[in-house]
Amino acid sequence: MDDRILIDARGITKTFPGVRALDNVDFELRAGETHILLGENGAGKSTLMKVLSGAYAPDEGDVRIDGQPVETFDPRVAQRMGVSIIYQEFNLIPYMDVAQNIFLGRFPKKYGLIDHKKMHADAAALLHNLNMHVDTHTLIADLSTAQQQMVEVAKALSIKSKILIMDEPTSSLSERETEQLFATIHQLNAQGIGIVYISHRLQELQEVGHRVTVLRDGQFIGRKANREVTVDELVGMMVGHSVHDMFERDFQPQGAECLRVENLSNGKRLRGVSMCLHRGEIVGLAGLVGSGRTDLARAIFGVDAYDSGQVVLFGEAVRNLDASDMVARGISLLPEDRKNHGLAMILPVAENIVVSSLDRLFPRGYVSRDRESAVALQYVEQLRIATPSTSRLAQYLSGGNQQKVVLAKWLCTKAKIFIFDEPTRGIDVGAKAEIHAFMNQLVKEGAAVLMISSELPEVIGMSDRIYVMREGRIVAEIPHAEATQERIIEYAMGADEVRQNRIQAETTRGKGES
Amino acid sequence: MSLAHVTAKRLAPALERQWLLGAARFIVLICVCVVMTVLTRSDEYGLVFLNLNNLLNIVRNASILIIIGVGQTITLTAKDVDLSVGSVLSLTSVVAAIMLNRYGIPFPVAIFTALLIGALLGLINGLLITQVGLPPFIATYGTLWVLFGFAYLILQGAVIYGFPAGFRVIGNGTLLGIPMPIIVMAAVFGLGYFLLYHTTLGRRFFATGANIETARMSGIKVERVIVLAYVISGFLSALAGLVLIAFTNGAEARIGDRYLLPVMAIVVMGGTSLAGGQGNLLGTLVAALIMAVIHNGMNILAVPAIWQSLVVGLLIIASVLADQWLRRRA
Amino acid sequence: MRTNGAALLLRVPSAAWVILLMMTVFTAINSRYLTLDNLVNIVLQNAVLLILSLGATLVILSEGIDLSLGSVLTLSGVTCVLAMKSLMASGASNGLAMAAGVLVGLLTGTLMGLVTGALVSLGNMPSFIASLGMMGVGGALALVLADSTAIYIDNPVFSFIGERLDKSIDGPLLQYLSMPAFIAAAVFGVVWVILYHTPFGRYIIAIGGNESGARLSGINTVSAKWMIYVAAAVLASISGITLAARLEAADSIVGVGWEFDAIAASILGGTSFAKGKGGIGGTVLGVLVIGVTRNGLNVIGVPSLWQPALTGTIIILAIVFEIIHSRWKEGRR
Repeated sequence: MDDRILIDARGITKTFPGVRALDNVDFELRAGETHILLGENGAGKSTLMKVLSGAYAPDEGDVRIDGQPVETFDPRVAQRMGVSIIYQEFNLIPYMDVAQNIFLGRFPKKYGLIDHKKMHADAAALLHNLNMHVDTHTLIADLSTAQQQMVEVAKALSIKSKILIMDEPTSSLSERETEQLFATIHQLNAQGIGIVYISHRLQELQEVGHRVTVLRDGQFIGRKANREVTVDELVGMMVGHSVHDMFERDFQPQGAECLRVENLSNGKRLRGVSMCLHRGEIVGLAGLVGSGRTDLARAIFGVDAYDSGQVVLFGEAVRNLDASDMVARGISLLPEDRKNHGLAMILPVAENIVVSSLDRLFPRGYVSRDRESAVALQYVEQLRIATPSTSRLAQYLSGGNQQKVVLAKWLCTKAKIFIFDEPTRGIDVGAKAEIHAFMNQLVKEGAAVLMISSELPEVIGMSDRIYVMREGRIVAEIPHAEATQERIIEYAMGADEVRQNRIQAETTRGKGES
Repeated sequence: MSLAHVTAKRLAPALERQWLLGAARFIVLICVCVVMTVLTRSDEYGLVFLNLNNLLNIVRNASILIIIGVGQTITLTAKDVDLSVGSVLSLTSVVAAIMLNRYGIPFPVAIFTALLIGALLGLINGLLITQVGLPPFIATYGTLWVLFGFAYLILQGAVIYGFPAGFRVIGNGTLLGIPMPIIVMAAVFGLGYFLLYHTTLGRRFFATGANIETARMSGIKVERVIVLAYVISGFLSALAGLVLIAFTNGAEARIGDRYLLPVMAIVVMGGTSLAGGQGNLLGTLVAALIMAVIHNGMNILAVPAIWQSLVVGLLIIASVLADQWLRRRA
Repeated sequence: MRTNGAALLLRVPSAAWVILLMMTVFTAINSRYLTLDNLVNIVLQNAVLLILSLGATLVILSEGIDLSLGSVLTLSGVTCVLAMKSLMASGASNGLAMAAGVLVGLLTGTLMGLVTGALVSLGNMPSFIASLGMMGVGGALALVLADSTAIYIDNPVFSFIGERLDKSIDGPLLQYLSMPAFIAAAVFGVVWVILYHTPFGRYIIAIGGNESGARLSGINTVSAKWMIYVAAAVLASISGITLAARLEAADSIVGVGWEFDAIAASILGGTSFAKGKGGIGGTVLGVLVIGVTRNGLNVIGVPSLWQPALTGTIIILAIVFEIIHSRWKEGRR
């Protein structure tokens, strides 16, 4: 790591309607350094990354790349200035080979035609430098995720990038592939390339990263040298004591068990999940993005199939039933992506509300518009949905009200079990409080709620019990009384594992010495 | 800023835009009628266009197209296009024609068989789309050609002429002075309207077409819904064919070919979105009438038929462009 | 042992299996099927379709569809012949007239392609609707120009490009070669070079595979998309001209529905509607499937009335087979 400063970002502020994603954030990257950007979901890492790569323009603040001030924020301008970003969903063309992907748009030419020989030779050289031994004629579609990632790196190197931004690069890699990635990162650093590395995983800090910057709620919390900081300090920085309008829960005694999941696996993200849910309780499901929470919700609800394990609903074992059967049995799912999975945006509010209860409301098949509007109006009033009429198209409502429409849809089905996936994401404070109030009311009346959330104060404030998921398994169950943000994060990120490993290492070392 | 721009901006929300477009369509219909009345007025014959006989003619001619159009509007609402309508019409008509003319089979049986075959062909389309996963326009385009082949095979290029009077009633009979095709069309339109806008199945069509993932996650059995939409379209194509051959008293293998492009034109002009979830039956009806008026007028004015299909092609393009333009302004 | 068999089944393109199966069946039914003369016939009859299908493949690779290609074929044939006739009537030589006719035909295709491409890339219209509309327009124009009758042309220089070589030249083996086949081969070669050896060809795949990724890599996707439709239409016009040469006539009926064959050939050849998968090599196989089927049904004596129906059904079945085959292959990736 030398002293040349590749990125000098100061006072970066970026606001979106209703939320301040970045507030006066500083960031610095030196040549040859791997600088880790750490923070919970929603801390602002992704926004900062997009600013640095030119996808977003900041509202305030300056960015200098290798001494040059950034005038225009545009991805191609950023590329020309030497910044490359590797997103989690790669930007590769699946049915073209490695070399063509690397040189897409910049093919070497001979007599007006593509010079395949030179292209493949140059590509092979780049891959060789990265210690990757893949035939440059292989199609991207035939490569593993780790290999595709290396192609993205090679692409960045081919345009002589000095700065590489990597977004959760290890999220789909095996342990061995992760080791190889780290070796590559060390190599790139040795060549003077600076890397901004965004991650959740505390274990990784043991192996990469010269410095760490921690963000929380869009604020810059601190910047430390990796060697000089402990896991506990980092966790402490990520967690804050932010003041939220927390709704006071009326906790009930736990009712009868209504849902039980036993050893659910699906060969992808779920690796043997077991949990249970009782009437009258709100159970929080915490964990990092990618830990499998949404996969679990979808598997229980019947949208995705699972390979092994079983779901017991109201005492009856159900195996791989589809969504419409599950709905008929009284279970509901409010999806994470409310615009694409929760609502039909081009349909009116009223139709969105009754869509899952059609047979119940209109048993003879005849749909009276009046009845439909009246039923919808009932929920609009109950949930205080702000809309001039029930025939307004869903796409014109604000985020909070859209979420209320989704909730209304499921209330209308008279469901007894509600699975909420990120219920208050992107919603203003007022609507948030209202939704919390409804959840409270629901369980008071005997329903059960499973709430997936990345907002820890919400999880802690609202849940009777909290499950923490990590890498496809439930790693902890924390009762309300013992729930703290630190504890949840530790389990979510594997700090407990880090501590374990360190203890083990010391023990073995101790044994060796004595 | 042009007037159109200002108008479009102020009426931005789609609900209002739908009203505007619907009203615009009616206005276009009236205008076209006025234009035709003026153009065809002659000293010798008086108002050629604007007399009851001619107007009934127009609506009767449009009836076949509207019956098919109802089916197409339904499939577009639930999923996507059905390009096989012309061939389904041809094949089912040919089968019915042979049953009636060559084998003297009682017409209720012939009618029932034709309708059943239409529904089955729709089922095949639906299965190709939901089970095999073919994109709808490929699946229905494929069945279009296969069915044409079968129609040609059965009838061998010949024309069948002459059906029993009992059958012909549905084509050239009248009820209270109104030609039967119009009655059938009105019944189909009425039932279709009721089905699409006032039944749980209709709501499911809209939900599935608007967002298939949301519909699935809302508990709708989307595959079943889509198949049903195509079955209805096949059934209605067959029904249209029966009315047609009853009226013309003849059938041949290519009888349905000329309906595909006009049907696409009227659903697009009628405001039904190609993306799914926005079926506009009334718009389809008005658009069909507009086209029928234009055709009728051009016939009276002796414009060569060739120009007429050119007009249809251009109309489709113009309506889609207009719709895109308005969408982007909103 | 079992896995090896399955692997072989998967590695060979599905179209090849279908061709093999059908040729076996046809030979079994009528041993006179498998003659060199007949095979040459198949090539001759389908050279035109191949050229058309190459255009369809390019559009499908970019995740679009062009239903107007059949109309472009028809219209180009008509304009070419009409131009030739009028020049010959005013005293021009056969060769000059042919050159002019060919030029006019190509221009027709270019113009149609420019309009379709503009509608799709600039107008942001779904390619399906834009091309459906253009199909109507093109067909109508052809009807207008050809007046619902066939237009015959007697121009030996022109006819030459549509016939077997042994008709006008003496020499051994020439009865197995035909100009349309040469033209098809030449066109195939050119398209191959464009698709695999020029940036534009790569842009086609990029747009089909990941349009936003392509844009981020600096490709001008709007103009590239536009050009794809122009290229497809030009290919369609080449096929229309060649066909007119072979038939020594042009009319408004020929070519109707050929876009179905062209699209089917592309799909049978493994080009799918997702992500830019496939290529023109497969299209040749796809055209062969269609050609072998048509020719075979004829040779074994299936009544001509049964042929369209059977051909269509076989093609649909072959498409379903190809989809299942490729899904099986994907599953093992």
